Amino acid sequence: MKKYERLFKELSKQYSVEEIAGSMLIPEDLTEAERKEANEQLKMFRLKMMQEQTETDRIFSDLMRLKILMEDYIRDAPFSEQKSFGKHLEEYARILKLTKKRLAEDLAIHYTRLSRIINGHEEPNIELAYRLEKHSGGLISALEWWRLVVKKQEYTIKIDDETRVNEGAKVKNPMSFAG
Amino acid sequence: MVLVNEETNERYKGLIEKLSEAEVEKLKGNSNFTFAWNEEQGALVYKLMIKGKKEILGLVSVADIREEFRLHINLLEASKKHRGKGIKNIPGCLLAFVCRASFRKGYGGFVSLLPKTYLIDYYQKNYGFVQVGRQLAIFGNNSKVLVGKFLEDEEV
Repeated sequence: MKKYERLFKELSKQYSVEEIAGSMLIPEDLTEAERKEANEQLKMFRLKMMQEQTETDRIFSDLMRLKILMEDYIRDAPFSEQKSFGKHLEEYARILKLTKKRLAEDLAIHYTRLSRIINGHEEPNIELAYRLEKHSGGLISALEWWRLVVKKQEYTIKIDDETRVNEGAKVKNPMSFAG
Repeated sequence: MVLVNEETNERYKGLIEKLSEAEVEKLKGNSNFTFAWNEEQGALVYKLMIKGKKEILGLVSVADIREEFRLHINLLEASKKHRGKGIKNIPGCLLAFVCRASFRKGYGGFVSLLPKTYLIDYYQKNYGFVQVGRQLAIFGNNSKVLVGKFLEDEEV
């Protein structure tokens, strides 16, 4: 009996098929020729799928990639100007093959404001995050867009000593707990 | 990613990490698993754990088939302790993790695997795989659904 068939039969004495399938992937035992044929079938299917990919398929795939890269950046990486809200918005427009003018129209914001946000000269508001969520068909949530803003704000709070000192100087009767 | 123990209703934050070649080698003779995971040297092997704990709950071995823009799952296994009991969404989390990796690579969420015939029905019904010859594949929206179902952040 083949290796994985033997394993399956052994496990079947103790577990149902559902329990086995729900806890492990037991591969099919194939001969080298069978494996080659199976791989060839899948390759043909995959290549045909790529050849027949529609523009909608491409956008879906690229937006999912952007969303995941955003999530990973937010969770794992330090703040970077190259990965700001504006840069991600620029990439979003590139994926959709939209000019800034057209994207501004779609999002119902002034072209100049969109341009300033993309170039990091102006901060987005929550309303824009909601509009982007709607524009992306819900693929990239408002929360994910907004976390990019928060990431920059957190970074700014950590490094902006000048504003900290200036704003601190305006405070009266600060508490002090130093010994 | 939230792991749920269906017997106790306890919920845990899950974490998936890549194993180094040395760590894969150390899996030799690990009695918590059935497959010979140390033989997966050369593949990408990932482990699933509860965040902050060392116990490996599940393993998955993946091959990157770049020329076909797909990831192929060689093996996947929940530890014996969670076979048919305990934390039941271990395979789902590992499958979704591979789907996510496929999207990240620009493969459109395309993931393939070659299960024993007895298991095909389960993978189709529970995860949304489709049959392509002898293999199974998931891609596009079905792959996205799996990512959302098993990996989306929830409060523990």
